[in-house]
Amino acid sequence: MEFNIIISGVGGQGNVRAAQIIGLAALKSGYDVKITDVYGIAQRGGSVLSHVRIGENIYSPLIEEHKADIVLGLEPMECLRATINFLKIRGIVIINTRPIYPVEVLIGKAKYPDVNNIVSLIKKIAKFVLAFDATKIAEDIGLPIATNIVLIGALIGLDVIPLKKELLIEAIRESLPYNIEENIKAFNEGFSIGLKEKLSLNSLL
Amino acid sequence: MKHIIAKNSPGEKVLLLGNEAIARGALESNIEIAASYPGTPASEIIDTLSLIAEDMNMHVEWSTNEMVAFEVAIGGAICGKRSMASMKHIGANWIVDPLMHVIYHSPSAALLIISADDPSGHSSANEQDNRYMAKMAEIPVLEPSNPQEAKDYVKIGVELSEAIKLPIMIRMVTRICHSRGVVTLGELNRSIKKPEFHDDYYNDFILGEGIVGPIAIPKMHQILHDKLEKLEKIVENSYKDKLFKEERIRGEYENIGIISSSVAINYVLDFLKHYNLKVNLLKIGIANPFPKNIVINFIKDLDKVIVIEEGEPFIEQELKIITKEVNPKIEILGKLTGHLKRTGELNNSIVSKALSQLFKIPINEDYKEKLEFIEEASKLITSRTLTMCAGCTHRASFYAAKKALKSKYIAIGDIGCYTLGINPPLRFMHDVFCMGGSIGVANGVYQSKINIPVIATIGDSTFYHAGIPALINATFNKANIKIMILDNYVTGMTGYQPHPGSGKTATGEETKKVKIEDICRACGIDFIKIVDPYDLENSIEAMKEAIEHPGPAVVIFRRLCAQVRVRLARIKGEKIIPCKVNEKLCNGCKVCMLTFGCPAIGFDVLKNKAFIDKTICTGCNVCIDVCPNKAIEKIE
Repeated sequence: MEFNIIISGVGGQGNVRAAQIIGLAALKSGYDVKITDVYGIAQRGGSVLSHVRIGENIYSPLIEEHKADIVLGLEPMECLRATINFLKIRGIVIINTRPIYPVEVLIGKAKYPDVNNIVSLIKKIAKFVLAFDATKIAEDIGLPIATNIVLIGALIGLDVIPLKKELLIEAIRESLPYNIEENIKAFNEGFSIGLKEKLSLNSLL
Repeated sequence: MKHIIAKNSPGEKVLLLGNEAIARGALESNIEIAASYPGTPASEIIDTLSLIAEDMNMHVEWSTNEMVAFEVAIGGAICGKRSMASMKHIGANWIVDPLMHVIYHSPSAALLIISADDPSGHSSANEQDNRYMAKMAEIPVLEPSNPQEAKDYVKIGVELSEAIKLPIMIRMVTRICHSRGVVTLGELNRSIKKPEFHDDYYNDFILGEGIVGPIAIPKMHQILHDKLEKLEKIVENSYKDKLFKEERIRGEYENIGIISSSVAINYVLDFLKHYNLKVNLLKIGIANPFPKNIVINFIKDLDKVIVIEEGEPFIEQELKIITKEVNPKIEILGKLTGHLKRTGELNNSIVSKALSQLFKIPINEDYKEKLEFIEEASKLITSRTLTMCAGCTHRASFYAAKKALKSKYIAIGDIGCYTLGINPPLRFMHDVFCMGGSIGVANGVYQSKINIPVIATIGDSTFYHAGIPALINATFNKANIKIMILDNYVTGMTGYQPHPGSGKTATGEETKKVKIEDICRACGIDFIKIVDPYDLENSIEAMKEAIEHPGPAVVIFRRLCAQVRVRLARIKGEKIIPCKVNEKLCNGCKVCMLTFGCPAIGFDVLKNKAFIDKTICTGCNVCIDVCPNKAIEKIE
């Protein structure tokens, strides 16, 4: 058994923390874990990619190209970028639909792709795509930074990796320095969305 | 508990970052002094140790630069305290001078150098393989391959260092520093050694010959060679199992072998696991002195060997030298033969491809079904240029300087968040160099008689690190340059570590602030102005005056880093009040985006109006003064 998860986003979105939380829950579940973050100069608005590998005897921290079972996208265009490079054929994608515009777009040198377009394109190669505005949910809780946690909740609700909800909540408590209750709320909101979609995913299997 | 690395529970499995594993290794092997200067990918070693330093009776410091950090470690080691200095690969360039001295000494306690290479330059200006630095200095270099080994090799490094009284380098790479893996904790018995100064420097060679000169120096050099020879024997006799893994097979592939080290071995092991292959495999944990006998034994009957290593073809070249004598017909494949690329970080795909060719195994290619999608999707993707954060004080400083500099100028930058000032839309600097290089290179640009204003932009931490000698040089040699010192109270780029101007040490202890303006004054600078970069009017005025001043002039742009300000506000529960665009006044001119470029400002094409993303805006208010139509205002 082996699960390879790519988390993609933009510096400052909590990519690294999300990977750490999933990894910790996997360790608690008795799996071998390797995680690595590819970010260069983080915090500065660049692309961030976290590789999370769970299973038995995991060696490389990096996931091989086109071998990721799941892409968890904190930002639409970054999710597409990660899907291009890493998603296996017929993998699963969970995507936050709220864009963060790159400088190229802000100064008018490039156009940001239409988010609906991104989603329908990914649907062409993915087995299942769950797309929703996770940032909106986090904003409604009063903690926009918890977008990453909403998406982890959705991943666990979908029930596509063998990690129990309780262990994720434990990992959140151990990994975050403050705003823990808001984050757990964010997790639960995401979990409900994932759980609702689990049925339609199951009908595909 | 302040950090999991302080947990005293031998046998427990925890998830640690490679850098945290180094820190745990330092605790388990009773290292008492740890010093560093922040630099990605090595920063988390000291970041982590600083949290638990007091409880663990450890002296942990951010030093002014890597050279000082290493000298601090040397000082500790010659007084009998196990010591280490950690740094990124380029940071290690600073330690070369003390390193080339200390190798002729015999510190009485362990002295470790943790050097973190950054292949692909994820957060660096170059690629550099510091195994060559170890070879030049003739010191041993260990290569751990994962977080568990990172911890364990610190302990081995300490033992070896004390066995031969030489510094030991542990060569990390980004992909181990910044990987988390399961680590089994070892014993934690912190003990404090009584400090004692051993005068070994003079005992190692015959007194009366002096410590310099053509009689003493070659003798000291010989002692160094003797130490390395001794180490080779120690490694072969006592550390073979810990530093090497060897598998020998019979059958189809019995004449082919793989030699690998560091993170690269993981790509090999994943490939072998995936295709259920058994092959001849040698994993090397020490690259210098090159483990000749172990390697000879491995390759002597092989026809072909592939070397898979991160960085330069170091092992591959060493192998070429030794096979000449013992197995001249062997074919050596690797980076020199183009079987693996010679630049950039390795990964599974690169290694899989090389190994599948070598062992003639067809690799899974169902990704080909993705090709059409990849082509279509790639057209939608745009690049994402790194930019300074929303509310960044440097953006405001560069904006003001650009307003003051109406005519042509040359600006030279160096290393820090402010390096990003070279990117659009600001494009303030014209070139960037090494730590402190801004002022140094600006000196020379001025001496070229180029006859336009010459600006150097340097951050606060970088100024303390490497800017001061070049500033003195400007006074000394009359270089009429204008120096912008961007002071945001922290070492921003690497994670907000304190510096000599912060008033706090690595462990949070209060200390005297070393003021940049006092240093500048002492360096002979007559014109020094301190401004708040958020106050554009005064900042522009100060830059104008500096340019008109007839000699070298300094403007210090001083305000707390916006990221730190926002974090503090979040902890304290204070509200950040963002700005908004008054759509009645915005005429869609885009001046805010095209000249200032804060990532919180976006543009609504349908409305032809700018907008401010309130989740990103930090409420610095600078854009209010940037907008020519007064269309940006504070949210009430």
